[in-house]
Amino acid sequence: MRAKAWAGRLGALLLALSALAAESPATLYNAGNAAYAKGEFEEAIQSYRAALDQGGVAAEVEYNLGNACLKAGKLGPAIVAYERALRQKPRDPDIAHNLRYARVQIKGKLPVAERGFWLQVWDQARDSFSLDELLLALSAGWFLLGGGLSIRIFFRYPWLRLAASIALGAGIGILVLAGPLGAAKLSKEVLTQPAVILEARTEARSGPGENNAELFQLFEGMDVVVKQCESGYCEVRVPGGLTGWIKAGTFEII
Amino acid sequence: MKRSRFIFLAGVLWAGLAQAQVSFRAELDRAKLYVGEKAILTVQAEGTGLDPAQFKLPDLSPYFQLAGQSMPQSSSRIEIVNGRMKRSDSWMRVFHLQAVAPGRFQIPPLTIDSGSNLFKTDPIAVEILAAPPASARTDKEGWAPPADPYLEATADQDEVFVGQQVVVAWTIYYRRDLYNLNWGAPPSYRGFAAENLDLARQLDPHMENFGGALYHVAFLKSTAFFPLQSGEMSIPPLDLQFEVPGRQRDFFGQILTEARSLSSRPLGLKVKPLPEAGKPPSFGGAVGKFSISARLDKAELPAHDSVRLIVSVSGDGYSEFVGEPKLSLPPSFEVYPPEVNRNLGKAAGRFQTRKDFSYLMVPREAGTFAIPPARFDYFDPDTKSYHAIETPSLSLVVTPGRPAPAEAAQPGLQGDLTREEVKLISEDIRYLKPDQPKLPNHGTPLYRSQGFLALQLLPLLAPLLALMIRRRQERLASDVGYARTRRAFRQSRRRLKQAQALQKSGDAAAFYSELSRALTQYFADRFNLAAAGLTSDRIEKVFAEQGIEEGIRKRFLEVLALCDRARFGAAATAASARAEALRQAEELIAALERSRS
Repeated sequence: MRAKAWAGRLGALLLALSALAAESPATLYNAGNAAYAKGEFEEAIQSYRAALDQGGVAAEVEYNLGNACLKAGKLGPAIVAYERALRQKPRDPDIAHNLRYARVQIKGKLPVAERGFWLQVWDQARDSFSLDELLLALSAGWFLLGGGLSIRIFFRYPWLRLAASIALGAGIGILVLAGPLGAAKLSKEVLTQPAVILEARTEARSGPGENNAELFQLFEGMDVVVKQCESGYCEVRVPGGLTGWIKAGTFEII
Repeated sequence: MKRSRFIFLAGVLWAGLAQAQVSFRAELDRAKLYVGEKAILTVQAEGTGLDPAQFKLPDLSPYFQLAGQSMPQSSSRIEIVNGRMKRSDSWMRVFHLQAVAPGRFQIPPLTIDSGSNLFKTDPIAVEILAAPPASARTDKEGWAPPADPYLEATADQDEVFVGQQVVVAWTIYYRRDLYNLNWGAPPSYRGFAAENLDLARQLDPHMENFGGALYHVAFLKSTAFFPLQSGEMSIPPLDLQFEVPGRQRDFFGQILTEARSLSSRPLGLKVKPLPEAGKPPSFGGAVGKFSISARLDKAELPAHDSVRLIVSVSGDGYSEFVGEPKLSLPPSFEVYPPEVNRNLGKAAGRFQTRKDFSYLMVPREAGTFAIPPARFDYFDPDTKSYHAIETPSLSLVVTPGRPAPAEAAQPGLQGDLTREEVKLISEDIRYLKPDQPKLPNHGTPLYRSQGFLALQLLPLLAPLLALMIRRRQERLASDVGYARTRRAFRQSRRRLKQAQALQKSGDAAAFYSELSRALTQYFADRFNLAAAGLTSDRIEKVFAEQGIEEGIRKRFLEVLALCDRARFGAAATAASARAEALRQAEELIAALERSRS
């Protein structure tokens, strides 16, 4: 009788463990893939979002979520998901392609500021690395600098001092190269608040409130940078340089 | 009686002399100003015993409100006249007062209490005028700058429609030289869109005579304003900071400059709403004078090829209100949303905008097509009516071409118009990332990871640590005394261990000899002395010089004496006595080490 009770408890424990395992991010992600394959895009979106909520913050989940959103006709959330995926894997050609594809679907257009050749090169260099990669490179340069300096101070062996000088030079070189890129990346992703418009169409006004003049219109999927919020409105800047106030809640911060 | 009268007279004279040495005065930089303008009230005190902290500005409402104040600027001067040193203190405080109500007002005497005397300034009369209309001209008959220097803002109109351009120019009038002119923080132009027109890079003055007074007059900047809402509005004043020659000179005799600031008056503007009567349905808010033109980038092309129609709208209205012209193209044309290029400029001192709307069209059928006129509606403030302008009709010849590509026939796809993106439309998204047994968890980003950030301190600390160790090593190598002192304890421990081994072996003479050597050598190393020839007296003297505790001193000498006696058989050499002597020696060395710190 006692043995039966123990067997029952063990079974319940195994069931609970398996239920836990069923809710793991990877399982939810795979379930999302299965739903997507069947054309059930809303279910796929639910599964991917649940995987993200469970801590499965991975470029793969964001990318597949972007695909499911795009197939479900949700252009804004799709672009948000692709942007987040690209932050983690900036050199993934699939993510870059689908993001470009999604942006082509945006219904309207705003004036775009011309970027000169060298500024485009700079943008490309900055966007070729994730923030973590640039911070790791900066850290490596910093450690080479500190290590090289310490060895030069402490040791008197010529060959060791030569090696330390090389490390010192390499560290300075890495800092000079990665420093500005890291600062630009930090500024773009952390110090400013980039966001994507979620509403099909929203008016940008000259101030916070309906009584202010409408300046221009923004369409779902457009990139903006949120500058400040006041009285239920937020001031945003679009890449072309225009600024206006739009209703809070019509965009999602990336 | 005579004597008391003399003392009274002397007291009065001395008080008068003391008061004569103190000067307390106030001055306002202008006697007449408009509501919204700022005036500068300068309060100065010279002499001794006047504490600037004691001075409080009285309430000047309802005519003025305090817009800002500077910290007290104090200075001291020492003069030696006929061998007598005379010290004089002075201070100055500057208050920025903003006029808030019109009327004649007298700033009451300002007072300060030096403890024994109450000092007062003279009252200051000032006239505050209501804000004049924006178009009030400065060159009208009999007008003269109300202050020196004076910053004048003038608008080309004082009554406009919503969206109509108003050009405001700022000019400075001054008689004394000004240096280092800088604009203050730009005000918030809420309710207006503003576009900068001209900005003087340096003062380029000409002379003008105002009622017999010659002034330098210099243009500073101009800005185009577009009111975004109707009603009584106000263009806020601008602040200008500059320096003027001061009263003091530096060590080399050069005149020192003093920082000053002034602001222009606010400009009242009546903004009328646009009339509803006759407003076309496609009117986008453009107000001003506009022109329109159109061109095709090719006159003939094969079907399914692309052609661009560029419609340009130019005028002096606000660019954001220049919307897309109304255009109806043949139904067999596939038309993409236009690419919009904005060109901003100025002409005849006014802001000009040009917007090019570039439509990509793909004709799907062959034939000769007339591109109908593109229409643009605007409001002309001169005639106070709505106008429509149109482009001429254009002709496009479409020859039979290659069959329509499948992707180009997709309906409803819109987007960027570059060749690469047109190609992109014809593709599909790339497929999902495959299933994963385990997802990589990116976790906390590095810039938020405390461990990562803390680790970055290592490269900073390592060189400092290396430098400290290196310096210590160099000192140990070069400074024998320091090296002996640092090594004294370690070497004494080694000798005490040897003594312990001898104690266990039972060789009492050797044990006491080693114990004595351990203590003596420790003493010699610790105080950088030669071990040979150390006597009890010498040890006693060194201990006293170094301020070592009396108890330690005595015990140290007792243990040494015990060792000497035991070596020559005059003391107990039993195992317990040896152990006790060893324990005492260890304690003494430990106590001396502690006394080091």
